[in-house]
Amino acid sequence: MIYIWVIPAFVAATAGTLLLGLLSKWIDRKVTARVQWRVGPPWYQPLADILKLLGKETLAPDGSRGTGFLFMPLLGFAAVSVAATILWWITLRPGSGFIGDVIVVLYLLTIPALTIVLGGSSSGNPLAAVGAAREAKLLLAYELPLLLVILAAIIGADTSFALGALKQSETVHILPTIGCVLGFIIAVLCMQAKLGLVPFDIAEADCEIATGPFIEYSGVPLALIHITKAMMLAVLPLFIITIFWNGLSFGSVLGIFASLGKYVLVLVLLVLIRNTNPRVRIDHALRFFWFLLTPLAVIALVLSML
Amino acid sequence: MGLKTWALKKSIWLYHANVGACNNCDIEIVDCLTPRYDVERFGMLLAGSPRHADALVVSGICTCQARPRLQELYRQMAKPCVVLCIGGCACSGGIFRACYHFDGPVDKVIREVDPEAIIAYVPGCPPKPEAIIAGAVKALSAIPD
Amino acid sequence: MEVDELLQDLEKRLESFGISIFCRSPKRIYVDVPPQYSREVNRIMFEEFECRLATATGMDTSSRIEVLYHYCLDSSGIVVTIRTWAQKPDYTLESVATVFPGANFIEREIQDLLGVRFQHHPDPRRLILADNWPEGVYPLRRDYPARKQRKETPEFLRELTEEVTTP
Repeated sequence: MIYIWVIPAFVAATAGTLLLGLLSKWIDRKVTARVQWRVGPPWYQPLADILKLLGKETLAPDGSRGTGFLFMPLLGFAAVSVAATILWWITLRPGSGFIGDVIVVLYLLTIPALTIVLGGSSSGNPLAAVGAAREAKLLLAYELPLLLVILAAIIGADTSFALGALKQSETVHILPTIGCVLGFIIAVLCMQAKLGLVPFDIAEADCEIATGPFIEYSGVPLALIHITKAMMLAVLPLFIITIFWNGLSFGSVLGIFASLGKYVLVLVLLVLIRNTNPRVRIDHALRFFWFLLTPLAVIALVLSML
Repeated sequence: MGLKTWALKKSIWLYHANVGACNNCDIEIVDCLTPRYDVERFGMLLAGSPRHADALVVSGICTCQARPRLQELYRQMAKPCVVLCIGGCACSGGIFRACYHFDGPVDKVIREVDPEAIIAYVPGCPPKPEAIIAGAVKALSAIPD
Repeated sequence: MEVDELLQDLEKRLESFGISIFCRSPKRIYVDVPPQYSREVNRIMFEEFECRLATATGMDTSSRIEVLYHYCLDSSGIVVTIRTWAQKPDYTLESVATVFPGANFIEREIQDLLGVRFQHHPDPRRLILADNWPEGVYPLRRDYPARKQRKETPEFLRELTEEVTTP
């Protein structure tokens, strides 16, 4: 009986996450503009960007491998949509979800980065190949501390690998709570790299390598890439709030305000880090994630086990 | 006006190409994109690749060496797109029109590839950023619905 | 170092090279050097007087092509110009880039635009003219026809190779 709701739920979650993502993107650009003492774009700007891209022609270079090149953005979009559906299902219907859905969502959220790597490599452009290599290295870098702190949160909350249980858990001991807070900070920094925001937008938005893996995309595939990025901007804060901060709950009026506050706080943290930092080199990023954040993540893990 | 044209007018991404300029116009174009003139409120951003761009902002006379490359750049842009010729040199060749390396003003070079191209001219040496913004607005209003 | 002092030093050091030296304004010294000694004089300027090569310029007077190397003495602001020339018909000169690499690019540019062949240049490739520019056509020579004598079509390059006239 519940299975007939899958398709409408999927469509609703995708559309809702897309709108939330476009709004988040606008908040990002507006806050950036204000920090730089400018006015900034109007509220419909990200929507206009995507509509414009949908109306342009799609060009594919001769040297690219056609199916892979054009299929990758669609694959990334599909992965984010499914992850969004799972997350919104758990958020809006507490108590649902299955054991192991944390792992499923983690895997699904790795797929967009992989499609960037594969799409860039199949472009047939040397700059895209450089960007794809950088994205692959960055993927290795930020996944490690992220997995460790998620494990720390799960152990600290004494639950199983289920998002629903994580959402509803309350940690009462001091040391595991400190571990969770440390884990939250580390997770925000990993989100910065996952979203491809400065200081870790090494692979994607470079003027140095002319937008890297996206250099040959135009028209509808490029629109799908931007849609995927916008949805990731909505899904990832939701994900880490669900793991570390008891998720969003829309039960009471206070709950709605608290949820909005949590989401906006994470978003503004990402935007402010973005505006106050320069872009780092790929080896600096690797060193940062492996030699600074990973030991901190291990400390968080140990704290949560006590 | 349709949704497609509305979106194109509200969100224009620029790609800057220098085909033989002395760099003064390039400085003014980059000035245009700084926070003081804030073209992002019109939706204009600098695109890193010509395939992402809607407006080709050209400065400089078109030299012999740059001519086939400018035509290739225009072909790489996803249509519909516009061209802005910035400065006296791009509009007509300017003071370098009689030089040995001059190979056609920019609009002649682009019309060889696409006779229907929408080209806006922003004269000046160099034009002020306000003039560049005005030229971009004029080019946008010439896009057919 | 003052101008008069520098003038005397230069006269003393360079007198074996058949130069003529004169000083037109308080901070400018001109040294005319016959082409066979140009490389040696340039080497002396760079190594012994420790000047910095600011740039080199070329000029097509109708009888010969002159190449001027401008050296700056940064401590006093004096500019010393070494003037050599390349004779017709082959316009050859000894390259200064073998002494110091700073002269590499400017000699390639003079070679492209005026047709002065620098011998023993370490890298005598084309620098600033277009890839499809015909060989043997030098735009800054006096006999290069002005724009209004050429047809204004993109094919003017092909016509030019047929109608280049020698004075």
